[in-house]
Amino acid sequence: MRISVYGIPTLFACLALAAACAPREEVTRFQFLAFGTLVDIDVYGADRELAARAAADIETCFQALHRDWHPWGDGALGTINRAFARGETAPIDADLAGLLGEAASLSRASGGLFDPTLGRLVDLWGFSDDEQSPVAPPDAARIRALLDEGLGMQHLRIADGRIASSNPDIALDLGGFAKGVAVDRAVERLRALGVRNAIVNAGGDLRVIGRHGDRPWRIGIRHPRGKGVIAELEVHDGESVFTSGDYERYFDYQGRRYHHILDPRTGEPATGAISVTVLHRNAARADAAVTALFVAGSKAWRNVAAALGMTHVMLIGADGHIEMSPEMHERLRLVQPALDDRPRIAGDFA
Amino acid sequence: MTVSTSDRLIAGFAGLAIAIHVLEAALPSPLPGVKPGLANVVTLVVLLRYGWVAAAWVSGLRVLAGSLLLGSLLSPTFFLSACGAAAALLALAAGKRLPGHGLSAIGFGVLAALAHMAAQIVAAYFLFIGHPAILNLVPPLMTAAFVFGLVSGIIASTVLGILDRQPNSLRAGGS
Amino acid sequence: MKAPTRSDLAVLVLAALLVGVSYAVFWHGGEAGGYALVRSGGETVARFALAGERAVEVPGRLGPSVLRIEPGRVRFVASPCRRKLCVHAGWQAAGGATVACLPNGLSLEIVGVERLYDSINF
Repeated sequence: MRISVYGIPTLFACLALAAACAPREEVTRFQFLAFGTLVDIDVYGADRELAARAAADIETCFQALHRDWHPWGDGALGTINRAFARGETAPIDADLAGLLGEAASLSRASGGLFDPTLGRLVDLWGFSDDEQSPVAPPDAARIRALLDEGLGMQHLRIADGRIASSNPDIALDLGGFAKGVAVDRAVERLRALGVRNAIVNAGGDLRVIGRHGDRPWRIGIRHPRGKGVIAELEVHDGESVFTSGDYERYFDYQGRRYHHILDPRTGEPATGAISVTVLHRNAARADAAVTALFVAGSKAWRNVAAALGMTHVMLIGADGHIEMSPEMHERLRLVQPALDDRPRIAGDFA
Repeated sequence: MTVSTSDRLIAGFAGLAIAIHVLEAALPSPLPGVKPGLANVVTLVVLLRYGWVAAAWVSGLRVLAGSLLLGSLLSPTFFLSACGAAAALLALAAGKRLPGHGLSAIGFGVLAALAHMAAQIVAAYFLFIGHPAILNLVPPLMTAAFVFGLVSGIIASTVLGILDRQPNSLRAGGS
Repeated sequence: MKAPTRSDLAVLVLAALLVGVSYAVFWHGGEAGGYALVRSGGETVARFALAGERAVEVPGRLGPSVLRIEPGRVRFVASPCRRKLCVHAGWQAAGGATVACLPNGLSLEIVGVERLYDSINF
């Protein structure tokens, strides 16, 4: 590089280059649509080709999982649900059987608040349609009729490679679990390919590998009422951050918001929270837990969190106040109050 | 091939420019690499005393010798440098064609510095990455180019004044 | 030192104007608010400076989506999709934040501002 009056512009241009490409070269972002959502894979450091191959792999994997686990599609889960409706058994492979076993134990631990057998209820509300949003809540009598039959994983039996349901109204819907499983698998895949620093973010729910160079990965948690970022935290190798909120999928009817997180006890959208965030090592468990904790709401979440082994939890209540476990309080920093401008950090430590 | 007077002049001025550049590299600086750019004064002086072709030689030799000294020949830095220098020379040629009494060192200095900077930004944007962040740096970079172009123009103008007052100063034959 | 010529003055004025214009074009009132990059099927189809207040239309697979731009932030305000998840996502201001409208094939990412966060959870 020449140092002259033209060298100064050169130097400025180099500074500009350094400023412009430093973050660009450090982190490569791969983005694709899969699992009905936008998936970002940010890779730090590892060479581009390796990362590109990993991202392409994960995209294929996510697309296959989406097909296999869609409750009403042509894949494995859709086949099972149609068989249940006819009162028949259906073949099930070891992978899906293992997954359902895990889901059943999480459902049991959550006292049934996380329930993967609500497929018909979700469909009745119109939340299973990928293309359309419902416009009005369903008839209360139809909700009651479904619940009266008795839903829940205890109605399912898996034996000799086949699955059976004692209730034809049961349909499996892995929403609130599948995305977590997929994120875990993506992380496994990246690690297997030798990627040592990355974030997998599937529609807002994420898990990290390694670090961002000489510092941990930094995550912002979106404000539940669309006002930017409400809190920030540093996430370490292998940890995942999952959030469930009433803002993700909803419709308004006669001045009331109806969202997609249904309470299996009432058959209606849960009302005890507007968002729940957990930090946990296992994305699949975290995914099931945010759903259960959301349904538990501000009164009951502590017991459910303990039963599910969740130590790091933040809940934003229906009135906008924030509650956190002491462990979460230690890790997370609020950057703005929730909704009423007066955050009330409730908890043992308050 | 004989060594002409103008060859010697060009070599001498290029050497001077490189020497200034080496001296400046040793100066402490608030920002890494930011220097006042006195070597450019030489290009302006050569342009106004010996014409555009001589200035192009001095500037070209400096790009080459500078990158050889710093081991950056044919590297991206070198291409940025060459793009900038070429644009600056084109701007100087255009400045020469302005009507009226023409430009003095000050006008040439600003013209060359802005052209140099603009070419480097464009080259950096297209050669490397079209990252929009680079666009945010355009205003301060252009401001710096303007200020340094002005300063080098004033110094060159002063140097030219001193040279003009010395009757036996170097003159290229026939100019 | 010679006095600057008239051409010199003209060059100086024009150069100063050019520098001034560069601030107006690239900085928008002295503040770099970043850009919203709009992608359609992996291709960048539009780039909007997050400055001033305006609404812009971006063509998508189903039809135009409308973005509302304010200094330093952007959001979807209307979309031909049925579920309106993109509209529900609200304002985005953080560097690296993304919102997608899958039915309409559009995604939006904030670039050109310092990234406070590596990823956004929601």
